[in-house]
Amino acid sequence: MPREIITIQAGQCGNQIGNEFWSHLCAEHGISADGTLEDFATEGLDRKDVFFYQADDDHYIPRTILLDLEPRVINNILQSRFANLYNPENIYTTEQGSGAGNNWANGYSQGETVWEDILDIIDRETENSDSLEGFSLLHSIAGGTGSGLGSFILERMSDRYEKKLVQTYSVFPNNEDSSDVVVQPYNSLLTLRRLTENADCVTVLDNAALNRIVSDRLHIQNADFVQTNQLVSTVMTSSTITLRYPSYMNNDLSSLLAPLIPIPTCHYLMTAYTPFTSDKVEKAKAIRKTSVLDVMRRLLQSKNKMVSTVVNKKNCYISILNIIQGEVDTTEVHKSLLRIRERCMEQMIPWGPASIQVALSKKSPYVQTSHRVSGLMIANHTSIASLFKRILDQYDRLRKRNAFLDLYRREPIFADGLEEFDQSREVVSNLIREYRACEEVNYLDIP
Amino acid sequence: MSSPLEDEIVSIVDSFLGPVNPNFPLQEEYRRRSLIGLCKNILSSNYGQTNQTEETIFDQIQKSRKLIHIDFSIIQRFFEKDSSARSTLEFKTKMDRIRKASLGYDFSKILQVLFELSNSNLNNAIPNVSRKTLQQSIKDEQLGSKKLMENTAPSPNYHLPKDIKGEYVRKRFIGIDNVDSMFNDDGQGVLLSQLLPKVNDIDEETILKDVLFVIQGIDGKYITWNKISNSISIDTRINISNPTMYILDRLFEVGELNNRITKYINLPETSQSLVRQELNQLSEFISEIEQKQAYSSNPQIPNSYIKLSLRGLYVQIQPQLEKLRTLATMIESFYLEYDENSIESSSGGEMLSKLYIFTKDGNPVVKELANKMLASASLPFNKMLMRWITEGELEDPYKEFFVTDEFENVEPDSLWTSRYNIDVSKIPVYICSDITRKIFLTGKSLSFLRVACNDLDWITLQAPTKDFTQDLGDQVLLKAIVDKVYEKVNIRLLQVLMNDYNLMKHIAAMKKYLLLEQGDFVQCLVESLGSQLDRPASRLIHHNIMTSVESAIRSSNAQFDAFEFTERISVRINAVSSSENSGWSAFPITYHLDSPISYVISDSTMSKYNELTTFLLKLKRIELHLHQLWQHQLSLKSGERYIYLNAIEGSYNKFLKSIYGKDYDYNSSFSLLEVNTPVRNADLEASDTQDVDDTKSEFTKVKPGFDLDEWIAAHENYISEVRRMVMGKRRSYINTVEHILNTINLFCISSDRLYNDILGLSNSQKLSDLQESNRQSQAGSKGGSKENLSDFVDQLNKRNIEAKIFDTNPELEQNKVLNTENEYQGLNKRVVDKVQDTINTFKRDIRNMLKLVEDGTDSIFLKGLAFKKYTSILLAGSYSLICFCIVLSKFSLLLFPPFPLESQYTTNQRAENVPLVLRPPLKILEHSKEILFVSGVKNEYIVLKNELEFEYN
Repeated sequence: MPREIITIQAGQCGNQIGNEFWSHLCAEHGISADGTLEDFATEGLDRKDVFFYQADDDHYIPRTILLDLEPRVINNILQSRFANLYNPENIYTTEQGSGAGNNWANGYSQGETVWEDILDIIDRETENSDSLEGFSLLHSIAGGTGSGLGSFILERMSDRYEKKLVQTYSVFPNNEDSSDVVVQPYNSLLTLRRLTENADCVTVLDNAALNRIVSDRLHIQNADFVQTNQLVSTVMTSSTITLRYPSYMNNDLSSLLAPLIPIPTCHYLMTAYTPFTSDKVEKAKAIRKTSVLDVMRRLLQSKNKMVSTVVNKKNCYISILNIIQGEVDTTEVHKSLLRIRERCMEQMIPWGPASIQVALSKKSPYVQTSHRVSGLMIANHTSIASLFKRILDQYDRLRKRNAFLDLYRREPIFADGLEEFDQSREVVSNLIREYRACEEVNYLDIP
Repeated sequence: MSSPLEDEIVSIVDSFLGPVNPNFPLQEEYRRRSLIGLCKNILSSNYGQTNQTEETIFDQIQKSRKLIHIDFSIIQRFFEKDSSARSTLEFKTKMDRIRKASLGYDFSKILQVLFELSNSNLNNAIPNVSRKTLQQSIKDEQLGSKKLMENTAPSPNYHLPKDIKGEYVRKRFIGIDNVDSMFNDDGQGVLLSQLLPKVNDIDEETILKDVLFVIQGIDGKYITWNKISNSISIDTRINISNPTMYILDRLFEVGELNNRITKYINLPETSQSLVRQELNQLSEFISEIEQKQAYSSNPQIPNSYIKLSLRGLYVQIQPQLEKLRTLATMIESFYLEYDENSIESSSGGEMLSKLYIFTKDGNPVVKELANKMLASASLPFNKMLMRWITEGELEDPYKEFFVTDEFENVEPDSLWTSRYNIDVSKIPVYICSDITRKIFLTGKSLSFLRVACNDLDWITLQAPTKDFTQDLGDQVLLKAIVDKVYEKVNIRLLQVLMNDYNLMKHIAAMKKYLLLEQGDFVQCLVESLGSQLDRPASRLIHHNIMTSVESAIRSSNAQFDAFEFTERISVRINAVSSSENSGWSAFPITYHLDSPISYVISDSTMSKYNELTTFLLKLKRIELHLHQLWQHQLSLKSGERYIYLNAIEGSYNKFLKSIYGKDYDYNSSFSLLEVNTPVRNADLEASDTQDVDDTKSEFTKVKPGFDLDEWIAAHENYISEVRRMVMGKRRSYINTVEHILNTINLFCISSDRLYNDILGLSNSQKLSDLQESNRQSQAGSKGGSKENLSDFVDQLNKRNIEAKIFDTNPELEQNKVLNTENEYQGLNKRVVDKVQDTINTFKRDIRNMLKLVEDGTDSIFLKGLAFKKYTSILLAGSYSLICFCIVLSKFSLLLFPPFPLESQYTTNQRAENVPLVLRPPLKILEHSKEILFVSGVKNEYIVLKNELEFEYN
C-alpha cells in the first residue's frame, strides 16, 4: 500500500525544477533515463511506487504531470535524455504557446479553459494509484503560468480532492533587486492567497537565498538556473527520502507534515540543506568532514537556509524536523540533539512543547556521495512572515500608484473590479498576524 | 610418717618422677607410693651392703625400676624356651617366687631368686660376691641370664642376645613412657596386674605370621580384625608381653590403614586403580616377607640371616607404612561424610581437586605419591574430557565429570540453555575457570551441532585422530588443546548458525517485523488491522488477522524479503489477556522460530520481543490515528477552521510525537541490527557489550572467540536494553503511559466522530445559512478565528436539531423528546461529571508522571522532553495534557449534548434574531467554563505549577 504522491509541475520554473527532481529520483532508485531499471538496482529496500508506476513493459513512469502554457521549456525537456521517462499523455502544453506573459490573471484565466484537459490527466493519474496520499505542486509564484495556473489548480484541487494533502514547492521571487518581472508583487500576492487557503503545506524556496547559497556556499559567480534548480531538487529528494526508503518513522507524507504544522494556517516551511558537494551540484567545492553535530549546527545557520528572511528577536521556531541521511551512529545523533536543543531552545515557541525532531533515513545505495552525513532541515519559523510582509509592502507601493493594473483588468477575474486584490491582501495580512500571534506566550489561552 | 628420711624420699621420688600428670591422678599417686615403698623397703632390707652411699642406692633404684618390666619377660621367655624337663619344675617354682616377689616389688628377692638360679643352673657359677653393688649384681644377673640362655636355648635361638640387648636399649630409652602408655591404655582403674610383665604365650613366629595376615587385612589365628570396635584385637586368651605388644601396636597401624584403604576401595567408585596399586605393592612386599619367613623357618636352609623378627618387620615395613599413611590421609580427605553405615566419598573432579592439593605438599614422598595418584586417577576423567571436547558426548556413568546432563528433565526447546550444566564442586582445581568455561562450551557446542544442527559429519571429520588424553594432565598443554578446539568448534557453530540457519537474518527480520523497523509493513498492518483490534481480544479471529498480515506483507516492501523470513510472521492470539478490553493489548503478531534458532533465542527473549511489539504497535496505532485526525482537520477547508482546537491538538500531537520520536532514537541507537549483513550484526552486537569504537572497524568476519553464549548474552542484553529504553523498568511507569495512551485513543475516537459530524454538517444544506449567521454574530462579538470552536458547537447542535439524531446514546434521544428542564439539568450534570472524571484521571496521570520523574525514571519518555530545564518539561508535558484535557472536555460536551433544544426556543427564535442554537450551548459552555476551564483546569495548572516550583526550588 504505497502512499502515492502525484507531482504537478507548472510553468517554466516548475518544469525545470521538476526535471531536475526526477533525474535525482531516478538516480537514487537506480532507474535509467528512459525508465528502465538499471542492472545494479536489485535491492528491494526502496519504495519506487510512491513516485513511479510501472508501465506494461516494466518501465518506470513518474507520477507527474507537466503543465505549461508555452512549449519551450517542455520541448527542452523532451529533447533531453529524459525525454522517454515521462508519460507523454501527462504532458500538457497549449499549442499556440504564447504563455501567460508573466500575468497572474492571464494564467488564471487560461486555467479555466484548459482545466478540463488537465483534470482528465489528474483523474487518470489518481485512478492509477491505490492509496493516494496527496499532490505536490512545483511552481514559482512570481511568473504567469506557475502562479496563475498554479493558483487555479490549487483552488480546484482543494474542492475536488479535499481529503488529499496538497503540498507545494513554491519558488518565491528575488525580492531584493528589482526583478525582470515588474508585476511580481501582484502575482505573488494573488498566489499567496491561494497558497494560504488551498494548500496544506508550502515549502518556500527563495530565489534570493538560492542565489546567495550558490555564490557564497558554492563559490560560483553569476549563478544560473541550473545550479539553483539543482539545489531545489536536492531539497525535494531529501525531504521525500523517508517516504521512499521506509524505516521506523515518517513513512507517509502526513506523518512527515503533521508535527511540522500544528496550526493549519501556518503551513509555510523553510528548508536548509548541508552539505552541498560536487556530486550534487556541479562545481561545488568538496566539503570538509561531516558529523551529525556539524550538520545539525550548520542547518540552523541562516546562511544555509533557502529562504532569505529578516529575523527579529521575537521570531521563533514552531517546529523543526531534521532529516539526517547516511551512516549515522544514533547515539551520536542523540548527543548532538541534546547539545543543539540547549542552544536553540530560546528560539522555540513559548506556548507549547517544541523540540527538534530527527528522522534518520537510509541513503540510496546507488548514489555515491563523498560525505558521510548529509542533512535537511524542514522548519516552520515565524520569520517567514517577513517575506510576506515584504511582498505586501511591494504590493502596496505598486498598488498606490495603480501601476500595471490594466494588464489585470483585461482578464475575466478582474472584470468586476479589483476586489480580488483587496481580499488577497486581507488574507495575507491575516496570515502575517497569525504568525505574529504564534510568537506570543498566551497564544493558546482560552479566549 | 614424717621422719626426715621419709620426707627426703618423697621429695626425691617427686623430683625423679617429675611433675604430676594431671590427667591420671590415680596412677600418679600409685606410682609415687609404690616407689616410695620400694625405696623404704630397700633401705630397710638386710640385703646388700650398707657401705654404699644413698645416692648410689637411688641410682640403682632408678635403674632397677626400669628393669622390672623387662626382666620378667626375658626371664619368662627364657624359661619357656627352656626345653629341659628336668629344670622346668625348678624354674616353675622360681618363677612363682619371682612372681610372688614382684607382687610386692621386692627387688632384692627377685635378685635373690635370680642369683640362686644362676648358681643352681650353671656349671660354672658366677661367684656371688655379696659385697658387690646392686648394679653389679644386676649386671651379673644379666650376664648370668645370657649364659643361662646360651646353655638352655639351642641353636635356633642363638641370636637372641643381640635382640635382648637391642630391646634392652630400646626399653631403657622408652621405659617411663611405656609405663605411662600402659596406664593410658587402660584408661581407668589401675590394676597392678597390668603392670605385670607378661611373657608371650605364643612364639614370635606365630605372631609374625598373624601380623602379616592382619596387615593384609586377613584375620590371623590370634590376631583378628574386630569389626565392632573397628580395630585389631588380640585373642584375650594369650598373653603377649608389653614390648611385643608395643611393636605389634606399631605394626597393626599398617593393618588398620590397610583396612581403611580397603574400605575405600570397596566403595562403588571408579578411581581406585592407583590406591589398589599401592595396596598391591604392599601385599607384594608382604608376600616377599612371607617368602623370606618361609625360607627362614625352613630348617634345611641355614641362611638364617634373613630370619625375620617382629622388629625386623617393623623396620622393613616403615616405607610402606609411610606410604599407607599418606594414602589413608588422602583417602580420608575424599570423604564428604563419614558415617558408620554410609560412607559418601567425593569422586571425579572433586577428588582430583583434593589429590591436586597433595601434589603441592612439601614432603617429597607425599608429593611423588600424590602426583602418581593424580596421574592415574585423572585418566578416566581426561578420557571423558577428551570425549566431551572432541565429540560433545558426555560419557559419565558415575557422575564424575563437572558437566552434568539434564537431558531427561529439560524442556526440549532449551537444549542449548539448560541441557548441560556445570557442577562447580566437580571442577578440578587445576583447571581454571576460563578453561572450564571453554571446555563446557566446546562440548555443549558440539552436542548442539550434532543434535540441533545435524552437523555430525563435521564433528567426525574434525575429531582429532591423535589422542591427547595423556597431555591433558599438563595444564599448559590442556589450555593449548582446549583453546584450539574451542576456537575451532566455536567458529564452526557460529558459521553453521549464521550461514546455514541465517541466525542474523532472522534477528534482522525480527527487528524489521517485531520492532517495526519495516515502516511500510507496519503501516499497512495497523491500517488493515485497526478496526479489528479495537474489538475485545476475545473476539479476534485468527484467520482475519492472518489475512491482514499477509496482505500487509504483500503490499509492503516485505514482499522483497525472502519468503523464509516473511512466512514466519505469524499470529498468536494471546489467551491470557482475553479479559482486556481491546485487542491491542494482546497484539498477536509474533515471529515463529524453529530449531535450532529457537534454542538460541529463548522463549523469554521472544516474550520480550512480543511485549515490545505490542507496545510499539499501540504507539504506532495512536500515531497514525493522530495523523489521520490532523489530516481531517486540514481537509475541513470549507467553513471555518478551528485553529484554536487544532493548535492544541497539534501541540499534543507534537508532544506525543516528541515522545515517540525519542523512542525511536533510542531504539535505533541501540540497534545492533541496524545493518543488514550478519557480520556487521555480530559486530554491532559486540559493540553493545564492548566498546563501540574499536570493535566497529575490526569485524570483517565473525570475530573468533565470540561464542554462542556470549552471543546469546549480547542479544538478551540488547533486547532488554531496548525494552528498558522504550518501556522503562517499572511496571507503574508503563501502566501510566498505557493509561495515557488509552485516553489518547479515546480522544481519537471521539475526534473521529466529531469529524464525521462536521463533514455531515458541511454537506448539509443549512451550511451556508449558518455561516452567514455566524459571520454576523461573530462580527458583533469579538471576532477572530479562535472563537470558532463555539461556532462548531453551534453547528453541531444545529445539525442535531435538523437531523434529530445523536450519535451517542439511544437513551439520550428519548431524553430529547421528553424535553424537560429537569432532564436538562440531570443530563448536563452527567456530562459535567463525565468531564470532571476525565480531568481527574488526567490529574492522576500527571501526578503519576511527576512521581515517576521524581523517582528518577530511567525511561526516555520523560527524559526525551528534557530540554531547557527539568521543571519546564514537566510543565510543558502536563500543560499539554491539560490542554488536551480541555479539548477532551469540549469534545465531551460536544459529543454528549443530551439536552433538548427545540420546543422551548423554537417560538421566539426568529423574533430575537439570535441564532437559536447559540443559546443552550452557550449556557452549557458557560456553565462548564465555570466548572472546568476556570476552576478546574486553570487551577489545576496553577496548582501544579506551584507544586513544581516549590519542589524544584
